[in-house]
Amino acid sequence: MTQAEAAVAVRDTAAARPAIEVAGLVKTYGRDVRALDGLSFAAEPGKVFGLLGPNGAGKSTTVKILTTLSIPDSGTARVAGFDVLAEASEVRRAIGVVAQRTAVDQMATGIENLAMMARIHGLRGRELRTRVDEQVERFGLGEKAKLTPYNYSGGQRRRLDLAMGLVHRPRVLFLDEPTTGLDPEARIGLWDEIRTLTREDGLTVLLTTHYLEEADLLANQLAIVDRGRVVASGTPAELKGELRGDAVHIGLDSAEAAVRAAAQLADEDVWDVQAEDAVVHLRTADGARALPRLLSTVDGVVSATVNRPSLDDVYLRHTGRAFRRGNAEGEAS
Amino acid sequence: MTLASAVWLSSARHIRGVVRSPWTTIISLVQPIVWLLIFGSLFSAVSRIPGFTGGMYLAFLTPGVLAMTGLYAGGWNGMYTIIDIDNGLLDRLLASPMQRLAILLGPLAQQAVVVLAQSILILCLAWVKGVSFAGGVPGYLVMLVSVALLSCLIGALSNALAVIVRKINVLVVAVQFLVLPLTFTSSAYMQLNLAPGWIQAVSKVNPLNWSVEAAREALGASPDWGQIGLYLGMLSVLLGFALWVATRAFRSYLRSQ
Ligand SMILES: Nc1ncnc2c1ncn2[C@@H]1O[C@H](COP(=O)(O)OP(=O)(O)O)[C@@H](O)[C@H]1O
Ligand SMILES: [Mg+2]
Repeated sequence: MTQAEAAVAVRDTAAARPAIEVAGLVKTYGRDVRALDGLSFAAEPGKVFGLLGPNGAGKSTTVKILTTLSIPDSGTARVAGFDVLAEASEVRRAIGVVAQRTAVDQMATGIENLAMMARIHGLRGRELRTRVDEQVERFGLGEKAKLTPYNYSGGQRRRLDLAMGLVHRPRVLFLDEPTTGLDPEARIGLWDEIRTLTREDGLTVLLTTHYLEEADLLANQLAIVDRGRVVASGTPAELKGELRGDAVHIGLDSAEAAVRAAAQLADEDVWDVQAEDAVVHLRTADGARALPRLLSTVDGVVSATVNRPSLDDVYLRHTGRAFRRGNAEGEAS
Repeated sequence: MTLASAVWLSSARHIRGVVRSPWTTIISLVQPIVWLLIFGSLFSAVSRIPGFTGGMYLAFLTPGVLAMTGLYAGGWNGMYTIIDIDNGLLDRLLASPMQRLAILLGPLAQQAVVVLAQSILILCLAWVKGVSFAGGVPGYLVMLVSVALLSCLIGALSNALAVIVRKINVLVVAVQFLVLPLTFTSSAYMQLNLAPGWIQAVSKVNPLNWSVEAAREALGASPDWGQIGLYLGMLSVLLGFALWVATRAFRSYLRSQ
């Protein structure tokens, strides 16, 4: 075997191994809160792994355990091949963390913030300066990098935060709800940035989000988390593929009409029929084709929509709750 | 990253913080200056109380005021850690290769620098008011070291409390609760042979008193270096203990989150 072949072989075995392996994590707070309830998943290296779930599902708790900031009651977790409890220092050297809340030193300039993180990871001299400049450029901080974060917009602060998690070129990057609180434009910018990240150096990204569209757009693999457990996992396409057919929503002129229509429509070649207020939800093989026939069988139709299966539907199917309702519950706790 | 360079990095960050936002440091200087000027003249008659051997009251008071400055600075020091917790920086550092001890020593080093600078300013003021000490340079050095030790040991405990309670108002209550009893069971304002016996007894285990006594002894005409060494030694041991408590507190912080 030549040296180049050996290098490839080494890389391949490394690649075969999950970058993050989580098995049976349990974490309780006090007596009543069971934040994680046997959470398990594995993330392939060089990909974006998405943890999708409503507020309170346990996403941040998972990130804290994986970044050595919290100690689980039971279960195991390995990051970049290291055990988060027994080999915490090795884990800390291998990771970059961008927490749910922005974490920058308000008294230091952008450049000083970046230099601090680079120094902590052992960079110095010219290499340190090059890396810091790279990050300033990449995240478009420009002249603002010479000022303290007091002078930044929310989006700029988040970008500095992200740059601080990346300046040392970690092998595994944790992004806990990176786009929450950003304006739409900044959000789209960040999405582009995250997609670029994995294309370089085989960086593995663990991304948590409660935006379905974000998970759909960014994640190569996805785990849907609900109440501290993974309820479904796979690629976004696989998850959506599990749902046979399209979603059809028919709006009627009253709730009674909806109930009547639901009963009539049940005889057709459709499934998952549900009446909710003045709307009937159902699924059918080819929504666009079936629609005229469906509409002709019921009275009092005011509107109709056909949707390709979305992660919304996946979430509804696996948790029995609409995604938005799950959210509201989380927010109350 | 070596521990030494981590400690340096962490200290430099905190010192940079107070240099850029010096208001807390400046305002906290007002209090000792007021003590020195008001108490110094208000109670100048103390030096005529039978049994008082401290000489000029202002000179007697100066080491006490410095120790009080260190005590307060130490008490408030946990505030910087609470700020770091609130803006997420503590978590960022705890998830990085920076050593825990370096994270803890950063605010303490900052505080030592601030307290030394404040002490020197107060000493200049005292000198302007006519205070001078027989002990000379070694006396001043012992005074500064004893103040730094005291403030770091209180500071370590303040940081331990900070990571456990994570609320500025609890820290404020704790400092208020602690400062008065420590002050009145020490010789900061009054020579202890004029105080009741039980206060003299309590003063033996009061680190504020150790700090003041070490400084007064060293500033005197014929210092008892054995006694000074004992006081500084006890302060150092207590500082070591306080640092240990603080590292334990960091561990409990991780468990709770
Ligand atoms: N430090 C803590 N103390 C007590 N309860 C907590 C703590 N952190 C999280 N929780 C609780 O654990 C559950 C999961 O929280 P979290 O992991 O933050 O969810 P997510 O990030 O998915 O919104 C929630 O019910 C939350 O209130
Ligand atoms: Mg969260």
